[in-house]
Amino acid sequence: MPSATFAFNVCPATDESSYFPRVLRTPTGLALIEIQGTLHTAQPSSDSTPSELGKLTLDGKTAWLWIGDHQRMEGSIVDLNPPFGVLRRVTRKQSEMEEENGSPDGTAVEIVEVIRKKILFTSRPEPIVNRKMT
Amino acid sequence: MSQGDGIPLHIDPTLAPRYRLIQLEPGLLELLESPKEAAHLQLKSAGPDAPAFLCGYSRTFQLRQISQSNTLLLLSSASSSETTDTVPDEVTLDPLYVTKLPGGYLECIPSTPQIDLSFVPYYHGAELKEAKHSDVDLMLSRLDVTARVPVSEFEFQSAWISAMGVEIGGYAYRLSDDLVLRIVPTLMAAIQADGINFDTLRLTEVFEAIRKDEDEPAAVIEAILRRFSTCRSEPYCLDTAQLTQWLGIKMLSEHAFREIKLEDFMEKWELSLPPVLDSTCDLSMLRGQYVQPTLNTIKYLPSARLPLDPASRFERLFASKSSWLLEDMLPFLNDIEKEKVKINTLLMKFAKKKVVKGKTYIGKRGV
Repeated sequence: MPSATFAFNVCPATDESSYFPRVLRTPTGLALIEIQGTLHTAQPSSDSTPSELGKLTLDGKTAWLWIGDHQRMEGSIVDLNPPFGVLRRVTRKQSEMEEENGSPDGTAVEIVEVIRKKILFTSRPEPIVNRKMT
Repeated sequence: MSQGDGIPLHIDPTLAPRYRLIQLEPGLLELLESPKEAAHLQLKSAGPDAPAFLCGYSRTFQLRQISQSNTLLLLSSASSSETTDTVPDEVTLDPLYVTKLPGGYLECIPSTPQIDLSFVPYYHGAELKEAKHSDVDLMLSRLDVTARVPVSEFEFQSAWISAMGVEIGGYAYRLSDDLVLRIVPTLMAAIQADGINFDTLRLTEVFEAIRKDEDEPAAVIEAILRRFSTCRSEPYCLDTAQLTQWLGIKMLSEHAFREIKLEDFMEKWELSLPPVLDSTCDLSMLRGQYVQPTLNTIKYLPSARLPLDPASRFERLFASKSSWLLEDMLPFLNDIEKEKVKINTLLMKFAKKKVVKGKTYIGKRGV
């Protein structure tokens, strides 16, 4: 029967400096954005190279997502009730698993973060006048 | 607020396969934050296409995939490849890496699973053990059995005790009813003969007392003591009511689904009780296990074997007896009562109520 060990490995919150306002901060720096709609992005040029999506600005509970030079969406920081856990699949070497708990199965899943707020974008993108970045 | 002040967002395709979202409803969050529960956390499934369950020490949650059309992006302050080459020189803020989370999120529903241990073979006693071992491929250890049942450790342990599960020679078995019916009277007599208190039974003392008369291993004796005890560990305290009830069900099930005289059954039940037991046979102990088609007859009808679908369940109940006293019917409805479907709603939908001289009778609709 398929089975996997499951762990809750959420670190305690820290006060480290972050881009995010205090309400959004999480120990691992993971945060959630929800966009009411579909986001079409260009295929990345190579298989694993990050490609630029846009820019995010935050001011109190308000957020703006800038896509390219011509579009902007306004969103807000809202509560997630119930919160979401971020699951990560960890495939460890068999020898490591056997050392730890004698399980020959190498699959483990862990919750690495609990996210209690999200940045929600519900409005349509609005056109903006092109401006050179400062 | 201008774009120039913004945090650069970069899509990192390598992040997506590593992360999924799971909705943490209060009961699940409580389970995850409890050290005792967290130490036993495991994801289990009965097969590749079967539902997955998140099992803690005492509770089980079923996982369900929820799809949504909205786009979910997970932001991380570090890329999996930790590359910084793509950040232009003039941007002073480090970029955030985002990934699209495909397929929505996972939802967890509290689950009270039906535990099926029917795949565990019966142990009929030391003499018959070898003869019954025809299919060695199906022999499993207790650990293997635990892994096959997608429930929490506590729920499994309760079912294992109830089924009188044992591990003998590295293999898991359930004690057969015949074996238990044979050992119980000898066990009770041996305990009494050695002057051991029925409220503080220790395996070593009890095993010493019975080994003169029985060849069965200590694991068999312990499985019986645990099954008919008020506690799960030593010292065991004999629960005479549980033993009496179990014997009653066994005596009744011998006449599987045949109508027999109530008087004959009660006599047989009383005779099955070990003489040392100070217990009386009361039909109320067998609620949910029988039906009385007439005042003088009784028929075996275990609620666990009735259909789970409410319409079929009522049909079967009314086929056995056309008119029921409300209190007699209730034990047959408890397991189909759902969180939002109360028994009264079920009765209104599938039956009709009638009050005669202060007693509530349940009959078939449309009759």
